[in-house]
Amino acid sequence: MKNFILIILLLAVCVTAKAHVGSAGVQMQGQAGPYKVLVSIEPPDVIPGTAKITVFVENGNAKKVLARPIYFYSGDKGAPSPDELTQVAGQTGQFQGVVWLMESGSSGAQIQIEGDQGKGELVVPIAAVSTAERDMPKNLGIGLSILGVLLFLLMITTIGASVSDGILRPGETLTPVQRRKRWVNMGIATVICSLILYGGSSWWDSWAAEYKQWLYKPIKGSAAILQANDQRVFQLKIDTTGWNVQRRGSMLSTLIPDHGKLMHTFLVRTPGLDAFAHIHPERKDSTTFEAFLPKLPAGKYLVYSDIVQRSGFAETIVDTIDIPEQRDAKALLVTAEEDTYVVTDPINAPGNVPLDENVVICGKPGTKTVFKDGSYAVWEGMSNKPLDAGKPYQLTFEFFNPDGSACYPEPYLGMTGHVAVVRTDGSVYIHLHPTGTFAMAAEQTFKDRMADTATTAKAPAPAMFRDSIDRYLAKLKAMPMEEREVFLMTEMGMYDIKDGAMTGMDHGNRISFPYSFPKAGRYRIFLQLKRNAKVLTGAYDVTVKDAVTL
Amino acid sequence: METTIGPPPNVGGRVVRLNTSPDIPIYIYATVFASFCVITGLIWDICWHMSIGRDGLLSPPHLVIYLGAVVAGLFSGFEILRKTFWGKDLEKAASVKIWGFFYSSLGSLFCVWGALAMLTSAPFDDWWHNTYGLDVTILSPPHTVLILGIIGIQFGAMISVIAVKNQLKLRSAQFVDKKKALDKTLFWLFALSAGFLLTIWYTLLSEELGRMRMHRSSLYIFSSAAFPILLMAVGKAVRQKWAITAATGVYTSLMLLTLWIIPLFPAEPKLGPILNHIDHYQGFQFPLLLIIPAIAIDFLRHRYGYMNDWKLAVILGTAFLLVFFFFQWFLGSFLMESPYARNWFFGSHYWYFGNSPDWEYRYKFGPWMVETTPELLKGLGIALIASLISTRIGLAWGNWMHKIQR
Repeated sequence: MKNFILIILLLAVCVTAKAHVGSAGVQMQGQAGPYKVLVSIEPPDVIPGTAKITVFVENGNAKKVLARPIYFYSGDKGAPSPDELTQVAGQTGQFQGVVWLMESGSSGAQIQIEGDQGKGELVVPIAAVSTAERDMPKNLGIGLSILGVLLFLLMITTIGASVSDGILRPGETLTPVQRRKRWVNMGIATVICSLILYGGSSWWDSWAAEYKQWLYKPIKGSAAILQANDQRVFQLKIDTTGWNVQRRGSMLSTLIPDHGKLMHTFLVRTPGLDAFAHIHPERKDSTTFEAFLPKLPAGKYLVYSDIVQRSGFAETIVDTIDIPEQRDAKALLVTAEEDTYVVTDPINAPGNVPLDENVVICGKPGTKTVFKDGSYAVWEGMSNKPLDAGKPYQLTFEFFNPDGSACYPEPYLGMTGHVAVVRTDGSVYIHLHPTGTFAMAAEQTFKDRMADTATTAKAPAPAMFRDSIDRYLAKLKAMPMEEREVFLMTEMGMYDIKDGAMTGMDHGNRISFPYSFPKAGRYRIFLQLKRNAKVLTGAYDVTVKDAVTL
Repeated sequence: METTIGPPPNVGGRVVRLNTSPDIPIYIYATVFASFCVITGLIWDICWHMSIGRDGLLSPPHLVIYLGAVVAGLFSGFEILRKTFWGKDLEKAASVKIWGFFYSSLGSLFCVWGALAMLTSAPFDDWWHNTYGLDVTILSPPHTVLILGIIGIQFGAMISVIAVKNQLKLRSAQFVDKKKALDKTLFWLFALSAGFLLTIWYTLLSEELGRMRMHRSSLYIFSSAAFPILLMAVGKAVRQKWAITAATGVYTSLMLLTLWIIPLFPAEPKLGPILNHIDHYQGFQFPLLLIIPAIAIDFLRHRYGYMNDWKLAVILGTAFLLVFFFFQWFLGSFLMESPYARNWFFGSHYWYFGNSPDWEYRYKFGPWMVETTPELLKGLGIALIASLISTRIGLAWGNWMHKIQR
C-alpha cells in the first residue's frame, strides 16, 4: 500500500498526448528579415501557461530579440507588446525567454530581431493545449499537510480561547463551567472546521474533474481497407462522438489544406518499421477520407493522419490497421500523383530486405543510402553515436546523383523535402519539413491573421467554407504537377516568379530538418526527396538517449 | 498597567516601549497597518489583473500583500514569544494561554493564524498553477486559503484593538483625560480595522456586486447576507454611537481613494486577447452606498438600543435592506447609464482589457440583468430574510466582541 502511494506521488507527469504524437516542442528554421534563425519552443503542458522560447540567430550580430504571443482569435491587434528575450551567457546569438499562452488552441510566437543588419521578424505557430495531469510531489504534500494540521489545531484552540479566557478580565481564572464551555465550543469548532475542509476537498475534486474534462483529447479515427475493383482503398472515418461537449462542433468542415493536401497520411508497418507510405486521402464526406493504396506489402500498420484546422491548429489522428495482400500485380490507381511508398529492412534485422521493386537499404548517420534510381543521400554531420533527447538538432542530408555530383531536389508538394520520424513503438511520430516541425498551413494562417486588421476572428459558415476548400483542391488537382509545385511554393512565399527561383529556403543539395527528439529510444527517419519527377524515399535509423544532466 | 485586581504596573524593566503613545502597544499599530497593506495590495492586484493581466510571485501588489502578512506575523509572533518567555506575571494574567504553554492576546492568535495561512497558500498556489493553469480566477482553493489568511489578519487586528480598548475601562479613574484621548484613538483604530475588514468582505463578493447587477435582486440578497452581520457586530463591539458609520466611512474612503489614485499610474495589457487598449490602470469599482444604511442603523440602534436583540434585529435588518435598496438602485441607474458617471470620480468607464469596448451593454442594463417586478419582489423577500438572519448573528457576534478582554 505504501509503495502504491509512493508510485502515485512520484508520477509527477503522466499523459502526454500532443497534437503531434509525442512531439510537443516546435522547431522552426526560418528567415527573419536578414537573419537566419532557428527557433525552438517548448509549449506549456497546462494552459494557461508559459512557453519557453530559445532563438538561435545564425548570422549577423543580433542585439535585441523580442517575442510576443499572437492568438488566432484576436490576431495582431489584440496581441500584447513584446518582451525582450535575454541573451544566453557565453552563447553568441542565443536568446531565451517565455511567452504567456492564455488560451487553448492555435497560437503563434512572433519573434522580432534587431541587430547590425537591421530588423527582421517571423512567426512560429504553437499548438497550445493542456495535456498533463499532475499529482502533488511527496515533499510538498508532506509540507502542506503539516501546515494544514497546524492551522486546523490553531484555529480550534483560538476559537476555544475566544469563548473562555479571552473574555475574562486580567487575572481572572476559568471556572469549571467556563472550562466545559471551552471544550464544547472546541468540539463544535472541530466539527465545523472538518466540514469546511471536506467542502474544500470536494471543491478541489470538482476542479480537477473540470480540468480533466478540458484536457486535450486527440481526435479518434478508425482506419479500414476497402476493395474497389480489386484494388485496396484506405479509408479513415473520423469519430465525432462527444464533439458537441468538447466544443469541436463543425471543425471538420473548416479544415484547410497543408501544402496542397487536406490530409497527409503515413502508414508504417509495425513492428519492423520496414514498409512506409505517404498518401493523401481525399474527403468523401465530412467524416470520411479515402485514398487508393500503393503496392505496400501486407501486414499490420501504424496509421498517422495529419490535418490542420482553419486556426492553424494541427492534429494527428492515430490508429492501427491490418492491410491484406494486393491480389494481383495490375497497374494500380493513385489518388494523388505525389502518393508514394517504400520497403526497407526491419529495424531489428538489418540487411534482411524483402524483394520488391521499391526497395532501399536503411542507413545510419554518416552512411550513404542509395535510392532506387541510383541517386543517394548521406546523413551528414552526425556520428553514429546516440543523440540526446530534448536537444534541438539539424538533421542534415546531402543529395547526390548516381555519378556523385550534387543533385538539387525538385520541389515535392512545395517543399524541397519531407521527413517522417517514427519511434519503434509508434509513440512518437512527426512530419517535418526543412522549415521545421510545424504545419506549413499554420504558419500561413498566422501570417494572414496578422495582415488582417479585424480584432476578433469571425467563424465562417461551415458549408460554404468546405465548398471553397473543395473547389480549391479540385483546381490544384487538375494542374500539371510542375505548375502545381510552382503554385504551392508561390503561395507559401517561397517562390518568386520574377526570379523564377525558390527564395524561402536554401536551395542546394544539402537539406536540413530541425528537430528535437522528445524521449530516448530507437527511431527510424524516412526522408523523401524528388528527382526527375519521381519521389524517392530513404530510411535512416538513429538511437536517442536521455540527456545526461550534470 | 493598572487593573482593578492586579498590582500597579512596573513600567520599564525588560519591556522596551518603542511607541510614542506608551499605552497603546506598538503591535496594535503594526497589525492595523498590516490590515491596511493586505487590503490595498489586494485592490491594487485586482486593478493589475484588469489592466496588465499577467503577474508573477513578486509583482508589486503581491509585495504589498506579503508586507502585510510579514508585519502581522512578525509583530504578533514576537508579541506571543515575548509574553511567553519574558512576559511579566501581570501580562501573562492578561493573556490567553494556549497548548498549556504560550501566552498571547486573542488578536495575535488570529494574526499569526492568518500569516501562517498566507504562507501556506504560496507553495500551494504555485503547485496549483502548474497543475491547472495560471492565475485566471479570484476564487480558487489556494486563493481561498490566502484570503482566509488575509481575513484572519484583519480580524486579528480588529480584535487586538477591541481588547486594548476594553481593558482601558478597567484602568484607574485618575487619568480621565488621557483615557478619553486614548479611547478616541482606539476607536479610530477600531474603525479603520473594521473598515478594512468590510472592504475585503466586499472585495470577495465584488463579482456579484458590480454595477451591472444593481437592478437584480441577487445583489441585494448577497449584500443582505454579507454586510449586516459585520456591520451589527461592529456596532455592538464598541459603545460609540457612530461606530458603523465610521467603519463604512473607512470602507468608502478606501474604495474611493484607490479608485482615484491607482488609475493615475501607467499600465498596459500584457496578455491577449486585448480588445480594449489602455495605457493607464483601470480602477476597481465605485463603492456600494453602505454608508447610508449605516447612518440609519446607527441612528436606530441609538434610538431603540433598550430593546432585546431579537426585536432589534427586526428593526435594524429591515432598515438595512430598505435604505440600501432605495439608494443603491438609483445609484445603479446612474453608474450604468449616465454619461456623468464615466469619469475619474465615478469610474464607470473603466473596462477590462479583454472585453470589447464597443459592447452594446457596456452602458445599459442587458435584458438578463433586469427582472420582472414579481421576480424582483420575490428576490427582495429572500433578501429581507437574509438580512434578518445576518443582523441577528451580527448582534450576537458583536456582544461577544464587546466582552473581549485579552
